[in-house]
Amino acid sequence: MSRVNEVIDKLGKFANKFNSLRYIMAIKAAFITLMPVIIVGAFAVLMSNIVFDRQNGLAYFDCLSFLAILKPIASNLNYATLNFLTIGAVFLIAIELGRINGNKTLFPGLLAIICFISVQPTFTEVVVEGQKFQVTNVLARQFTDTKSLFLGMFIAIISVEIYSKLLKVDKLRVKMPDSVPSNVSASFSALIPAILTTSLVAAFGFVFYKLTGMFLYDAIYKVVQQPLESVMQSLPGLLLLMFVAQIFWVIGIHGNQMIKPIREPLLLGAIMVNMSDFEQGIEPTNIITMPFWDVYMSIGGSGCTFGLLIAIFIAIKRKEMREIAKLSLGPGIFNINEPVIFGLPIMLNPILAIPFIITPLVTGTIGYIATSIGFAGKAVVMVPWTTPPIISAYLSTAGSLGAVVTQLFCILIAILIYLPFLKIAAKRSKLQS
Amino acid sequence: MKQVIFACAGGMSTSLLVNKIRKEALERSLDFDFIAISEQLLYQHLNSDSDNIVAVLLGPQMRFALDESKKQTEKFGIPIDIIDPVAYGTMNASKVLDQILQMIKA
Repeated sequence: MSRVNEVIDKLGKFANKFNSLRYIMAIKAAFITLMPVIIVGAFAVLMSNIVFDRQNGLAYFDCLSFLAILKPIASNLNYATLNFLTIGAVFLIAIELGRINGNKTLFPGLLAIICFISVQPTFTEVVVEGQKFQVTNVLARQFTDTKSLFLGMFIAIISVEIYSKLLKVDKLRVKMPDSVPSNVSASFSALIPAILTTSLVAAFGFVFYKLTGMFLYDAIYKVVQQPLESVMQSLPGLLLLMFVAQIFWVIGIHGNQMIKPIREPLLLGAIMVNMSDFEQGIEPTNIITMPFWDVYMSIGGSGCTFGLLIAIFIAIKRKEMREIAKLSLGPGIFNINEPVIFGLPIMLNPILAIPFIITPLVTGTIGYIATSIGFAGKAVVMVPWTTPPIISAYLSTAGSLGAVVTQLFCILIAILIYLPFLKIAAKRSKLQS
Repeated sequence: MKQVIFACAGGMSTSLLVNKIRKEALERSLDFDFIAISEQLLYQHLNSDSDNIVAVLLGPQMRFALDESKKQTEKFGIPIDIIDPVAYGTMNASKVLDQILQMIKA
């Protein structure tokens, strides 16, 4: 038993350390602030397809065909949110990191955007009738959308770190005589560090391009982002991430908070790509997305505890367990399950920990198979994780009934997995009392 | 009014508890404002309203954030603690309220 305690203690300490890392804190905080942007984009995609579209939307009906004229509104919103996500991410990560480093202004956000843009190409090549033309003064889409996300995260962190370090160097302060008001001299104190930071980053981007013939974007995308994306788009990669989250929940630590810094950029990126494709009428490619996680692997909260609640109502007579289940049903519908985890409890409960870890891995596999054979539609709309089951499957796939059926099947499987373990747990608690 | 801050990942599950604690406090005729927030916003709340905040409680699932959060609350001399996991899971408002009163006294 002491061995187990040792492991729990070590995991707890790791959680502490990991979450105190400044970069992790900044990235997590930034994505929380970004969420409404993504939801606005999702709303625009839904409106565009369900209302304004001539083929699939309300505009299909002749009496409502005027709605199709309004489609550009939704498309513009979609463009403004989804295609500029990285700009927002760079700004927010830099502000958060600046704050953690003790800089309370918003300037690090601007600084990071300048650095980020300075390493991106501002021209693009088009081919017209077999001839290559260079169009200048444009920023192509991949340099501001999720394809640049990892480069953006790196640049935000590096630029703020350099800037924060330089701010502390006394020699770089522009000294003003005492007669100058303090606010005026403060406005100069950041000047040299800002010039140095932006010049350094821009110069690095330039040298890198001259030496390798590649923009930083290409290098980071190919070496870091794409490999990570393909790991996350594979079932084993996804299941491993879920497994890690569940292990932390079992020792009573918020598992999603632990994996967020990896999960959010990749799975949110994946749903954004699908949303853009769907909006443009292209077949979406990503099976594993943020809604996939919520719809098939986190029904009723981490561990698919919606199935656990139903299993208790069906087959468990033990009063304490039924009480907790009743208390948990309301929040459970919105995928909040802390009462189950700490009240039943699942935390540090070796019997219930087993189905709690296994269930999402099984339902995730079911969801993956159902989606890849085309029975369930791919997620093409981001929905908030608090969206109740059935509605979440329906909305996120823009109305795929196959997805709803698959989700219901996953709930059924969850009930079946939890049942025997709940019976053992009930028997045990009866013996104890 | 004196504020007690509850923080968890998204301020969702603590808001469940907060609803129950408000009722409990009313019954005991205690005059507190109970607020559930996301742990990420603790910094902002502390900086804008530190005079009124008398205690900060973290959901047990956020106990990994205690050290970092403590650094911030200590600046203002505000007590911070983890909510008892069992009381949290069973949404035992009376027990958590006792815990808060203990913290404020100490």
